Amino acid sequence: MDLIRKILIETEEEIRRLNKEREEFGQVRIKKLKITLLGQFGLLSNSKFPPQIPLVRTDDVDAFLDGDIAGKQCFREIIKKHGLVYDELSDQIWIPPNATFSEISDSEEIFCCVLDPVFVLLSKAIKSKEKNRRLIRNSLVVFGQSLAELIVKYGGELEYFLEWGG
Amino acid sequence: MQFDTLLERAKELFEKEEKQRGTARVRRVMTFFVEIGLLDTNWLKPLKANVLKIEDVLWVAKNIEPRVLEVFPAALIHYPKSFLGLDKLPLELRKIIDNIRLGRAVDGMYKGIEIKKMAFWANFQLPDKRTKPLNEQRVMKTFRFKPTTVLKIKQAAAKKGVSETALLESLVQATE
Repeated sequence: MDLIRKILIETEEEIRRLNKEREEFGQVRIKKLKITLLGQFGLLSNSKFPPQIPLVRTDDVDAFLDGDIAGKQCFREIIKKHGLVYDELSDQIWIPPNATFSEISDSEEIFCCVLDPVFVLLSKAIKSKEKNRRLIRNSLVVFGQSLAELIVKYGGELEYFLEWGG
Repeated sequence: MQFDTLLERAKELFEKEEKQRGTARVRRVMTFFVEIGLLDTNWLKPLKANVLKIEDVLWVAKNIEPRVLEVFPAALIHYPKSFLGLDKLPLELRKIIDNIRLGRAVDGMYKGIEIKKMAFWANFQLPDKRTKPLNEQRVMKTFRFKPTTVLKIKQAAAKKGVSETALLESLVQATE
């Protein structure tokens, strides 16, 4: 089973356990947690990401979290158990207008989706081009004109990604 | 440049990079960072090495994957014996690593990488648990107390059933 599925199952189980405890004490249930995966972790968790594009990730998880503090905390704790860390600056990530997302899982406790690869790559090409020069160049080979046109539309320079080294 | 020409150039560079990813230098460097748990990848054919040349690490960071540079200071701080050729470390990077080690301010960028990100990984608990995050490591410090103070510290620590260091640390934390 891939890492993201394990993480989601364990987070769901933990939220379910906490909700059971809350019910026993007559407290309000934890609101359904919405997780939107972004960044490298989002790419590696997305079955739409072409495996021929070489990808390297660090241990941080970029994601928008929408829900109660308790639900968000569960997610943070579970990813920590898997040697990962939530990037607290995730909400500063630029999501291109008209971006599309793919659903990974939907249950009573959690809804999880991931930003589609071409939009993750576009966001990186525009906001963090130096660190992602090779990733974008290699992705252009696979995604071709669709990615190239988006990069140009949002002010990126394609030639920058086609320089060797640097 | 026309799009077709751009795509041709991208393909050319993709193939050139693919060949380089298969070289022993790249595989050794990447295997090390994946094994200590600071990086993960979807393409690596592992190749183990006892020690890495710093110039090889910097070459891989420059030509294959910049994220190697992001986690390199953490690796050098926690696994110094795994690296050869400290003299090959650029002066600016050496200063950055010294600042991270000493817990000094870490603003700015180095070759497209945020220095605070480099510091973050040095303070990150690696999955293998063999190393301590930098901010949890103990630092030797000497103080000169009056004998009566030393006696009081000893007695208070014994009463609480903790070490003298733990007692002093809890008193310092209470002032925050």
